[in-house]
Amino acid sequence: MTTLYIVTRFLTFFGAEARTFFEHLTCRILKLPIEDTRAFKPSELCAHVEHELAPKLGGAFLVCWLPFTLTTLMSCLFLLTGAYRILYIGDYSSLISWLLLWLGFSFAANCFPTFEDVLNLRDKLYGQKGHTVAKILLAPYFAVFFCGAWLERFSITFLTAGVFTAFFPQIFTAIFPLVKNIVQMSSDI
Amino acid sequence: MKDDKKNKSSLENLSGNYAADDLNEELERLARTFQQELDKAKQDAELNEKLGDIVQGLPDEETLEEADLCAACGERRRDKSVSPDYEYCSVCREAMRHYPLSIPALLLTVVLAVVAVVSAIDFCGYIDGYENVRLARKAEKENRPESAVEYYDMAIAIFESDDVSAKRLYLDSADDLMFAMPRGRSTMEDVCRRLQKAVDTIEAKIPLYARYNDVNEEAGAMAATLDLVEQTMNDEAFADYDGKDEETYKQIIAKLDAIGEQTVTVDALDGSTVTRPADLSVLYLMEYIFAYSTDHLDDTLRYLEKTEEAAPERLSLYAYEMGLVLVQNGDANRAKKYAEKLYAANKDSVYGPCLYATIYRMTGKPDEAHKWVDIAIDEMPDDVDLKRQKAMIYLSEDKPQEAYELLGGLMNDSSFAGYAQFYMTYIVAAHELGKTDNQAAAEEKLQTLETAYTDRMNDYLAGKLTAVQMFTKGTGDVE
Repeated sequence: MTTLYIVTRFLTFFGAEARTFFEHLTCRILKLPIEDTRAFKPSELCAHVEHELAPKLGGAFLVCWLPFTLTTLMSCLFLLTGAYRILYIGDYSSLISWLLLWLGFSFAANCFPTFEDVLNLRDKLYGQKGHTVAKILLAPYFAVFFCGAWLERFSITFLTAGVFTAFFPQIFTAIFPLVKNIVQMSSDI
Repeated sequence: MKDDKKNKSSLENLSGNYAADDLNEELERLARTFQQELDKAKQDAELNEKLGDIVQGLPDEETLEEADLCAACGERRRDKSVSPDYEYCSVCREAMRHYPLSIPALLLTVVLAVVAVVSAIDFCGYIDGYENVRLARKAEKENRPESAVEYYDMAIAIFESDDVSAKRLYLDSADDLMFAMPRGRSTMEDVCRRLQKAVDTIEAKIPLYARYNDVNEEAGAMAATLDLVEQTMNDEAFADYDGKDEETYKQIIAKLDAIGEQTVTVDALDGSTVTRPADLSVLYLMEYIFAYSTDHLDDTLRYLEKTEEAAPERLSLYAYEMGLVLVQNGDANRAKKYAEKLYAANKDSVYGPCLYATIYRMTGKPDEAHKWVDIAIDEMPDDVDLKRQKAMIYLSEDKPQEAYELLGGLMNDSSFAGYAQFYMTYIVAAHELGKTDNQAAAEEKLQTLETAYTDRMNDYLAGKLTAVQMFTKGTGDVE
């Protein structure tokens, strides 16, 4: 299983490298001791930074959320051209579109935190000293992180990223009118 | 003796040189110096004693196990205060909080971020095109294929202006056109053109495009079959046929039937030429039109049923006519089923609402008829025949004034070029109101079209048929 995991990280090289960088950045912000920042190491922590667990809830949440958000955001930006050009309108001749599609897929396949970080978040959030409001507000995030991190252990996020990429135009189309209005307002300004 | 004397004299000299006070001072100075040195020596001794204790207290290097050494520096003791299994010393742990960012990773991430932003900007540049595609897909879900094709065409224009290929849009619009078939033969040719634009000769061999190969061949076969029908109808042998001679009618029908046994050649997407059987649904539809135009009404239902049997999914070919024939034959319930299917399949088409309007008009429900014809008029407000449909409803409920006003507006438009059925309907309305001048004007226009009154019109003008009966019984129309 680890071998498969490492192989999928190599196949999604740019996403893995960027996610490792974002995790490193987050750990520096939180001043968490970092043990190993290599993106491609032959272990379960491939494409992750080896670091101490955050001691407080805020840190535990940030170490899961910030890399996830940045990676997912960049994936969406790549797919805006890649997925729309290739899957939505059928522009199969543009190599740049294929590259952007692969970048979007790579980032989508590397957006979830490590399972250890998620378990740490769970302990801080739902432990004895957990704050009730935080438990409710952060529950959706925790659910997403937990499922994603668990799936990533078995490299299933490689498949879920494929599904996300394939259906990205349909997903994004739900907020399309809002985006179009914003773009038009921006161009008017 | 001399030396002793020298020494004695030296001493005497010394004594003479140093006064008693000076000697005391010197001795005191020496005493202080000795005391200072003694104190210093004592301090050193004490310090050495302490250091000796410390040194004795330090463990020997042989007693510090490798397991206790920091995994990073290998010199200092591991900081067990963090956890019993912690591997690093406190100094290294502190340094790890400031682990430097990798410059190559930073540069790579910055470059990727810039590419991501450029991607978003490019997307925004084509947002109108993507919006049209979204509206086209939405129209498809709402069963409005003709609207979908319009949106696809707008999107294609936007993308192709920047040489962006939009294969999928051509394929999807070809599918919609094939289903809706709004303009008959020109639609068939349009379908083939779109598919040839989207799929090149090499791609046509890929199984992914197999379905579109079939659609292209189907559309091509339909157009080729129409060509054969036209050739038959334009045959010089039938040039003098006036629609009345029964023998000639049978000959023409026999020739048309023979087309059903023939094959047609079609240009395939891979550049080859394919042979397919003639398209029976198109053939039977043409036979229906021929039978209807020559007043062989007994044959019309049969040909429409054959059309449906040949291609039940092509509602646009037969459903409206089938519904009309059924309601004319008194089978309004079965006619309604075709109206339902037609309207559900293509909300853009006016045929579904028109069929509903006709059914309700001929079954004595003018309110429902008005509702449905108004739906059709909303879809195509400039369509003259829809206005005639509405006028027929008014006449069926004995409201000739409303019908007259509706059609009179068009009659008064000098640019309006009417057709026979329109003028006849107007004549009925004018006749009901006794407006003989307007009726005569319409009759003149009818004469310019070199069209005589139909049998039903003659019956109406002779008083054998009322206006209400004209539009509720029999064919429900002026012909």
